[in-house]
Amino acid sequence: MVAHGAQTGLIPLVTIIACLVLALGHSSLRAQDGPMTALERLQAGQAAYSKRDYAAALEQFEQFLADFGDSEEAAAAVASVKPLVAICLIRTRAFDAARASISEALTIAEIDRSIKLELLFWKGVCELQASAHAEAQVTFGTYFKEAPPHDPRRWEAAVLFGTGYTLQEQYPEAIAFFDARVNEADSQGMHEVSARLMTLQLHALLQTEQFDDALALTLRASERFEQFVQIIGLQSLILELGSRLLDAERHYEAIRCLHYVWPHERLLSLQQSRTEKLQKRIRTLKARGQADALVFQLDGILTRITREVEHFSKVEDYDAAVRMRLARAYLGLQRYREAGLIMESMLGEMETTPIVESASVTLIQCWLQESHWERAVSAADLYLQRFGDEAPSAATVLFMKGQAWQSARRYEEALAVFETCLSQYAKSPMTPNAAFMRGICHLQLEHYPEAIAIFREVPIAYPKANSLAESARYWEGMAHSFASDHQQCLEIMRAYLKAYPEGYYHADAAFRVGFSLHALADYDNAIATLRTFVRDNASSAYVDEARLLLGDGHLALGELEPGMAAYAQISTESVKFYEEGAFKTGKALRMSERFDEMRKHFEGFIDNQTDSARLPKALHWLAWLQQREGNLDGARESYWEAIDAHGDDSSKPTVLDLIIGLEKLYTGDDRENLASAWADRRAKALKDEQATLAVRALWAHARVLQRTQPIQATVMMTEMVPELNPEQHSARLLVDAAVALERMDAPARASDVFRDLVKWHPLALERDRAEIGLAREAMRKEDYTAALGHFEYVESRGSGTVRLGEILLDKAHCQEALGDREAALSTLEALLAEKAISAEAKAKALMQCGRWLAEADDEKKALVYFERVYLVYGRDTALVATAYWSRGQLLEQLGEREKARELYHEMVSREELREHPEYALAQQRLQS
Amino acid sequence: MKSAVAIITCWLIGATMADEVLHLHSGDALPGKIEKIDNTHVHFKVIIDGPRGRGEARRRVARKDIAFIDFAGPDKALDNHAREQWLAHKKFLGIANSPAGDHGLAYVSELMAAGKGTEALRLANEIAEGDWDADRRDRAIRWRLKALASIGRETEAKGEAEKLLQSTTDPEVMVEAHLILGQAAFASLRELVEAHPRWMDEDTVRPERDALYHAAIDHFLFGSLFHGSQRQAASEGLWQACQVHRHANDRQRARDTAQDLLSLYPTSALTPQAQAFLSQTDPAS
Repeated sequence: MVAHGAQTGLIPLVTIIACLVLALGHSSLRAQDGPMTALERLQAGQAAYSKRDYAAALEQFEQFLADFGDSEEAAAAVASVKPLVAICLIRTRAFDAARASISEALTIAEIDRSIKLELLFWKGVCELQASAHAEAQVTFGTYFKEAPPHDPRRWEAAVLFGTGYTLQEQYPEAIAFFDARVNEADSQGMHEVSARLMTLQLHALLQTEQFDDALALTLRASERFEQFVQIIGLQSLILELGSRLLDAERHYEAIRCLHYVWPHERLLSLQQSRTEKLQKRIRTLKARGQADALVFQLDGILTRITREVEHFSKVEDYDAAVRMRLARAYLGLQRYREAGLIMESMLGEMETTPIVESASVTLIQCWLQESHWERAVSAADLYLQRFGDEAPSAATVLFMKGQAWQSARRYEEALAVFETCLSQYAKSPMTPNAAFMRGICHLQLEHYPEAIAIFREVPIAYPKANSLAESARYWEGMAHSFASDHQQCLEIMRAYLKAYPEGYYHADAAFRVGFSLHALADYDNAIATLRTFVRDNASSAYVDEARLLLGDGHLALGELEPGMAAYAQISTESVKFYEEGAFKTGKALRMSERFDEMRKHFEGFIDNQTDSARLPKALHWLAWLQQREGNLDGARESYWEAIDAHGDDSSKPTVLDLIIGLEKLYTGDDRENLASAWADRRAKALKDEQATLAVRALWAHARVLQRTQPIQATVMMTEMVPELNPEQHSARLLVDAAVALERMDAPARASDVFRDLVKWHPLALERDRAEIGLAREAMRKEDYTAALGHFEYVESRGSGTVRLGEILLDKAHCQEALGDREAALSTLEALLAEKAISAEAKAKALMQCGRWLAEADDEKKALVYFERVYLVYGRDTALVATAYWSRGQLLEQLGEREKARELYHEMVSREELREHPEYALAQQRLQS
Repeated sequence: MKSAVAIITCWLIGATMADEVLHLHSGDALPGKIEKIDNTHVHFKVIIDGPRGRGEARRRVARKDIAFIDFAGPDKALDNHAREQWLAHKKFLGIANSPAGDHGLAYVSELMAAGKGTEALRLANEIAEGDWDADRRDRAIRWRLKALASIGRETEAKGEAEKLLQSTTDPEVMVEAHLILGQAAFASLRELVEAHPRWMDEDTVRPERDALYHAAIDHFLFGSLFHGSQRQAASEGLWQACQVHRHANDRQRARDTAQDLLSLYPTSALTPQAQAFLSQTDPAS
């Protein structure tokens, strides 16, 4: 880079020397024969120099010195030629000779100052070439001091001075030097030089592992990347810093650093565009002239960029390496999503190199870690698509895809993937795992025989996979257990315990032995086994289930005390088992007629399990005990106490069950007392600002009145609406209020409540009723598409809480309204095929089908439908009359007058149809 | 009153315009002062240093012959007056080397800060279409997206952002486009959760909610993951990702993201907010 700059710098020197030579006054003509004259030599040397033929020039100049070096007459010319010789030696890369030559030239007393500076600079370069770094530093230091401030090489000398420290591995000195000079260079407008000083400083900081300072310098540099002509060099150092920080597990710092590493293409295109701009600028400046110094600077920059681009364009996998480091840093921080996103971009965008291949495998692991199952599957598919089935990790990737599907509970898909893995990669280390996982998938799909077959086959097919053999044995036993083949399960689990006394599934297998014995009604052995299990495996997830089974076993043998003792051991944290045990204890006490103990037992349950969904059931047993003793008031009081205690707690929806349970204790005239008791409770709750209890009391009051005063009950239900908080209050209250609003002919308000119900209680059984309400509101507004959406949702839920027949009739109506009669007809056909649907709905469906078929000129089929109405579903006389009449009319249309008359006769013979208008019409037809 | 302002502005422009140098494709350079510019020509007052002193001549140079112009630096008198700088330079917007677009974008920034999104949008459009510099056109497009979102045209902003991502490779534009898309996804997510507060119980809603949640996070993280040097936009994305996690009641991830923001962009304007959030959500609590 420096050499290039010198070329332009030599132009004035040559001119000066040439002038000196010409001043000798000798003839410019060379003799044709014989030795050349001094002038001829000089002219020949000058000519060669001008043509940049430095070897020829050197030859001429050296010959001149050899011939006339001692001549006093030529002393001035000799003094002028010596510096040229030094330059020619540099140009021909004879640095050692140049160094000596320059030293000699510099001893010339009358040497021009500018020539002296020129040679001084080159002396430093030669010393650097000769690894005389300290001497070079002295030379460049002298140059820096002696050169005028505007000398463009002055700062080059400074850079080379600092480089001297680096070359001598005197990094602390280098850092201090660069640190001091950066600001100075900037203050003199030498931003490009300052940028180079920063780059060298970063190198020195890296060498001394001063990572914090290096990072700070990187961040400072990032503010002025545009001034870094050799940006690629700087970026390479930043990448190295990032890598070193990563190795030191300083992940955040590594990321901050790697943020500033640009992509390969961006760096290349920046440098190429800089090259073009510089070339253009230099051309323009040269054309204008008078800008030699600037051209010198720009030429140097251009050379440096060109070299950097040449080298960098050959670097492979640069971007992949950078991204992989970034991803690794995020992995180090356990940010799997972030790492996954980075590697996902690699897989999607980059060439299929080994780095990208490896990253893609990690990518799938990241998505598995993040539970992004479908994303893991997509990544695996893309891997196989891009790298092919023969890629190094193809089997592993396929296995992970199966795992992803399995975790997503898509067992069929998982099974298919594991099967493929097994068939495609028979020799892969993943194959035994894939074979085993097929069994697990079958197990989860409840394909027990298939699962068992696989679990048996795995240890035989893969005898070296010891841990798989153990797992396969255990899961084979479990498959038998799930298939209720307890004897087989027992044998396998016993064999497992024997074969693997320290096995991974040891505790689980021990429990399963007790479970199987219990299932086989071998209670004595089950009790012994389960007792040992409970004693030895207190921390097992199965321990409370074992206690429950232990209790059941004792009770089955009529051993109440040990049975109840076992139930009492169940932890309250195992809610399901605990409650099951508690109610079984209650039952045991009831059966043994230990009623006092039973009362205390359930009182204890109510006191301790206030959040239990089975609280009403416990209260029911307390009430049963009171009633049994003829103490109805006491039974009621138990309920009232519980309602008073929990009635205002909106998080306890079971209070509504208490209200319903209480209702059953009031019959006949007592129901009026209950109604007024609820009115009192509501008044008190309102006074005490117990909003939830107040609204529940209103609901309870309305329920009591439903049979005797239905209108008032409906009004009371609607009165709940302003007090209801849909987010907190149960769906039951909301649906009752909305249905009451429908009855009060306020469908819009009802829909608002239904919408709230759907919004806040999407899983509630009452949602179906709300969806139907919303569908009917949509039908009223003739928005049949919306209505269909609601109906289809209810149909898909299949909860059985609403009448499917009515829904399908309405659905068909919507389809018809939307112009899709074909769909409407198939909906009605589906209705007719459904066994659980009421006869009334089926009759209506038949009638509707008949009408549509008649309209569609399919009269024969329509006749059959009308006939089926009065043959099969005769209870609805209005519909029967209509069916008769419609069929008769259709027969007449078809010209079958006699058949029509026979039909009308049959119709009028049925007295129960007389009240319907079609009856009179049929009589008229018979008379006509 | 308006015309008086215009006159003063014109006078200011005339009085403060310094010398320029026209660089022609031929390599010639003409120092002088631009007097007028139209679609085909630049009318130029050339300074001639003759033997009898400095003189002036008027020349009309075809725009196609001009390589670039060394424009006079920004007028110090107009420092901190982005609008005036823009008005003074806008006529040079399409000419190579012109700083007009920079002044225009500074003015766009001021308009946005003042909540004048519609005006900002108009100006950003003008620069995006007319600036000679491709980078600046891209920056103008970024402002255009922001302006669209600020005036409630989110759907349009989203559509444009999606379109832009198909074509641009400019990091700033890409990050901005992802921020716009993240905001759109987050807005849809909020709307959906508002309508379905128990979305986790709804099989038909949950996949849509999850898709919006992941889309919002992915878009917001784009800046910090792929163009982390875009400090402002990247830290904004991290903060927004933190908000998405908070909205999803995922306190741990919200804390992690806030910590990322603090560790990766310690000098970000959002640092105090992230610090406050972390101190409010003590992991021990």
